[in-house]
This record gives sequence, C-alpha cells and structure tokens, in this order.
Amino acid sequence: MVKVNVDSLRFAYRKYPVLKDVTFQSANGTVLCLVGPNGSGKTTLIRCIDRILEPEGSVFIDGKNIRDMHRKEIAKIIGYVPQTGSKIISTTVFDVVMMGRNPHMGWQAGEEDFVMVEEAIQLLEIQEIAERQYNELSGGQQQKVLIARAVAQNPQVLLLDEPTNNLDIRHQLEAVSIIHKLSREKEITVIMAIHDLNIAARYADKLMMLKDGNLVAIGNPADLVTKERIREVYGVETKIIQDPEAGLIITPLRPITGV
Amino acid sequence: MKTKSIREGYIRRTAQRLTFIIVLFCLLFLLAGIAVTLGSYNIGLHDVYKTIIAGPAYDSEFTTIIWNYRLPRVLMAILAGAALGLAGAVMQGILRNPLASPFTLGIASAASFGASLAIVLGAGFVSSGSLVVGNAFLFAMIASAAVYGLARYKGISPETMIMAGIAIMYLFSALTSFLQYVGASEDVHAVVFWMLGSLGSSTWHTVTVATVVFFVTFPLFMYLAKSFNTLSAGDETAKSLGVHVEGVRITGMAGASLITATVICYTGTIGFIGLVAPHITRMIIGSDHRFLLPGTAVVGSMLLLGADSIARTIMAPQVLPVGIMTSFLGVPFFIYLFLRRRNDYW
Repeated sequence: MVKVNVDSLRFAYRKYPVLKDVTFQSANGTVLCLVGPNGSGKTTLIRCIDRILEPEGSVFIDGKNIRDMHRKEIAKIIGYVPQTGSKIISTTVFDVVMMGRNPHMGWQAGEEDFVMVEEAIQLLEIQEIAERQYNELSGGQQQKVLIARAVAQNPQVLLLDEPTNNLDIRHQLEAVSIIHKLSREKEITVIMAIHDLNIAARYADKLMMLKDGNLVAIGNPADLVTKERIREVYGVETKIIQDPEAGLIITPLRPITGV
Repeated sequence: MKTKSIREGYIRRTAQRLTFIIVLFCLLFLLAGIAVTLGSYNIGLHDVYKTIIAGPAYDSEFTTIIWNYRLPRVLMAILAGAALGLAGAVMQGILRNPLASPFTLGIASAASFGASLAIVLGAGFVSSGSLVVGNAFLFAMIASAAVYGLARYKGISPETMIMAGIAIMYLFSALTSFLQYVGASEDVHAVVFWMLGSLGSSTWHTVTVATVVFFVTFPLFMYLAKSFNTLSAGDETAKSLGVHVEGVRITGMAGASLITATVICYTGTIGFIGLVAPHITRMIIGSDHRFLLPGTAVVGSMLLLGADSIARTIMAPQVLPVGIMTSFLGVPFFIYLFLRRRNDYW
C-alpha cells in the first residue's frame, strides 16, 4: 500500500534549483534509502516532505495532501531526525525526548506521554544518559537522542537525514538496525538519506539515487547498484562483490576524471 | 538506570522547581512588607500588614503614608521587576540569544527618544498631561513595529530580528543624543534622570495599568511556554514538532514589547533586570519555560524591589536612581552563580 506519494516536487533556493521534478512512492512499513553525492538534494527532499520547506508539487500521505494539513497534524504523522550539530539550550536528554510528544500532549505530560518517552529511551538504550545535559554528549549519543525523540513522536512516517554520520561502525549498525526494526514492527515508513552505500544496500527495501536534484533511479538495491550506475552518479570506479553474509559490498577504487 | 527511576527523577525535578517558585513568592511577600516599613517615618512590620489588610484608609498620617506613597511604589517595583524579567526570558527564548533583553530590539532607546522629545521640545502625540509617558510608550511600540517590519521583509529569524533591533536602537539613540545636544541644560538633566529609571512617580493609576497588562500577557506567555521550549532546539526542529514558528515568535515579541513599553513609560529605562533575572532563574531551575517564566517574574520582582529599597535608604534622605542599584545588587549575585555553575547552563 502506498504511504508516501511524492508528485513532481520542485524546490529552489533563491532561483537556484535544488530539486527538479522528483516523483516517487513509498510503501507502508518499508525502508527507502536516499543516496547520492553531496549537494544532490537529499536533505532538501527530506525537508520538503516534512514541509519544513515549501516546495512546488505535492506530497501525499495516505492520499492526503500535506499542504492542506496544519503543522500539528503533520507533526502527528511525520517524524524528522535532523543532522546533529545544533545546540539545544540547556536541556536534559529526557526533556529532549519529551519534546517529541509536543504535537500530542497538552500543557503537561500525561501517562501516555511518559510511556512513549520511556519506550523510546529503552529502544535506543540511552537510559544511562537520560538525566545528563544534551549538549555534553558525544555526537553519536546526540544522534541516538534525536532518533529517540522522533520515536517518541510515534510517527507513521519517519524521515532521517544522515543518521549514521557521527557514529562509529558499531553504533552505525545498531542505529540502522533499530530503524529497520521500527519499520517492520511498528509499520513505520522510513525515508532515510544516507552516505554509506553498503549500509543503504543492506537495509533498504528500496534505494533511490539522486544527482543534481534529479531522480536517477529507484528500485531494489540488488538491481540498482551496478558499477555503471555508480560511475554515472558518483564518478567513481568501484568493485562490487555479492557476499552471502554481508550482501552487496561496494568498494570505491578511484575517482574518474572528467565526469 | 531503570526507566522507572528516570520518570521519578523528572517528577522530582518538577516538584523542586515548583517549590523554588513558591518559596520565592513567599519571600517576596515578606520583602514587600519590609520594604513598606522603610523610610523616614518609622512603621513596624506588624503594623504594615495590619494596615494593608484593613483596606485603603487615609485617616492618619500613618495610613496615608502607607496607602498613598509606599504601597504603590512597592507594588510598582514588584510589577515592573516581574514584567522586565518576563520580557527578558521570552526574548532570550524566542531569539535563542543569551544577550537578548527587553531592550535588544531598540525598545528602550525608542522610549528614551519619545520621553526626550516630550521633555526637550514639549512635542508629542498625546495630551500634555501625560506627554512623557504617552510619548515613551508610543515610540517603544513604533520601534518594535519597525523591527517587525524589517525582519518580516527578510524572513523572521532570530538573526534578522536582532540585526533590525540593533539598527533601530542606534537610530533612536542618535536622535536622543541630538536632542540632548540642542536641549536646555535642565531639560537634558531631566532626560538623563529619566533614562536612569525611577519608581518615584508610582501611583495607584500606574499600578493598575501595569497590573492589567501583566495579567493579559503572562497567561499568553504561559500558554506559549511549551512552544518556546521546542524553539530552543532550532526553528527546523520546532516546525517538525508542530510549532508555528513565525507565529509564536511574533506573538512572543509583541507581548514582550507591550509589557516592556507599559512599564518603562512610567519608570524610565531600568536596565539589567530583563537581562539577568532570566539567567539567574535558568541557572537555578533550568530552561523549561513553564517554570522559567513564573520563576523569572518572581526573581525580577525581588531584584527590583530589593534594589529600590536599598536605593531609598542607603543615602537617605537622598534617593538614588534605582537603575544604578539594580546593577550593584544583581551583578555580584550573577557572577557568583556564573562561576559556581558549569558552563553549559545556556
């Protein structure tokens, strides 16, 4: 069943087009990974889907155009995990996760809000740091807290912008497998921008490649990831191995000059 | 750590914050009583409360002094301190800037210009009886409208609002300097006195107006408190969490401007409280605006009331301008907290 339907999305920063007519669908409870070089429009696309930016074209969730929805309504169904790096004014981890309840709760947190926040904290295994100040944490810990905040939001659609950026390899695997589990167990539709092609190919139900604001290809990772296509999108020569345990292993060899 | 104890920790912190506010409120009540006893006419604390509880009376010198002079002044100190502190907390929150204060957006310099215009040239938009007050209020509101207009043109972000505020501030302070340059020396002296701030002209009329405006804006701020909290995580995050960012920022700024203008048009520009009361409160009870806002209001009241009481008595019968005293009293306390707390409280 189609959950997210993006139709002819275009966006420009001061007349400089960043997204040029992007159309795709994403099914309920699946993981869609957005890959592409720096500046290809991944972050912009994610922000447009959450209507943080106001694009041309339409985004439908369950057939409903988000342009006709209030901010709060959108926040009840779409969760967004931004890239880490910005400070939050003197707040404990618990309070940051509680922020995820903002669209649902009244002036004060109720029983349901506490339960959702505790669940999210457990899921991301951040109990130990729950009472610490957010700004004191390492980049990797902050990333987990931001994911927990979006989980506490209890969204149907979860957007993530480079969630593995600040994580070491162990925590990358943990984070992505938690996100993958969420999509399966809670039927959350995940759309995730990610740099690491190996992780993308391994965890994505669908992979989508962007270049210069255009959708180059979308489909099953096994069909999509070919030497030719990576050369076209990234301008890099690669070696691709199909491993029974690790899935696709993509190793960059050298950049191609003149692409 | 068990998740259950995490929740208990949150509830415990909430209780501590509430206790802090309630205890401080009781202390403020006590301080207010002591403040009424101070002055050249000796009145005991017990008699003060008895006279106040008995209701307005002007049948003796004793009751007249309390009801006509000291009580309005003490109440105005409480209201003005609360208003300036509150406006500062809101401004710092919505602009995500620790240096923001009610005066950041040029409000104080515009009010000073309005007052100077009335004092030096006798010119203004309102009837002559309340020319200084009316002018100060009007120009303060003009300044915040101008900041809003400029920021709106560029897109309402903390940066555009601060830039526009600085521009407006310099414009009005240059205009005030010009008036001081051309004005007669006794007028210039009056302007300088006005700009130092004083609670000397407090009456039941000013107290009533300030009370009304306070009880209109305070509930509005409390209603927005949760949105202010999400704004601290950045505009983008606040939007994704369902907050109408521009609307909250404009409403907050309008409320803070109104409450500031209302107070300073009567008292002159009392600085420092709006900047420091929010920081003191934040260092003690944290940055959750649901507690920070009422907490800052009480802390601001105590600071200004304390400063005014000392200003009235330290060189009696001479009364020092309260604007000087607020810094003398607040700075040591602020530095103490600043050094004691870890660095990341903001």
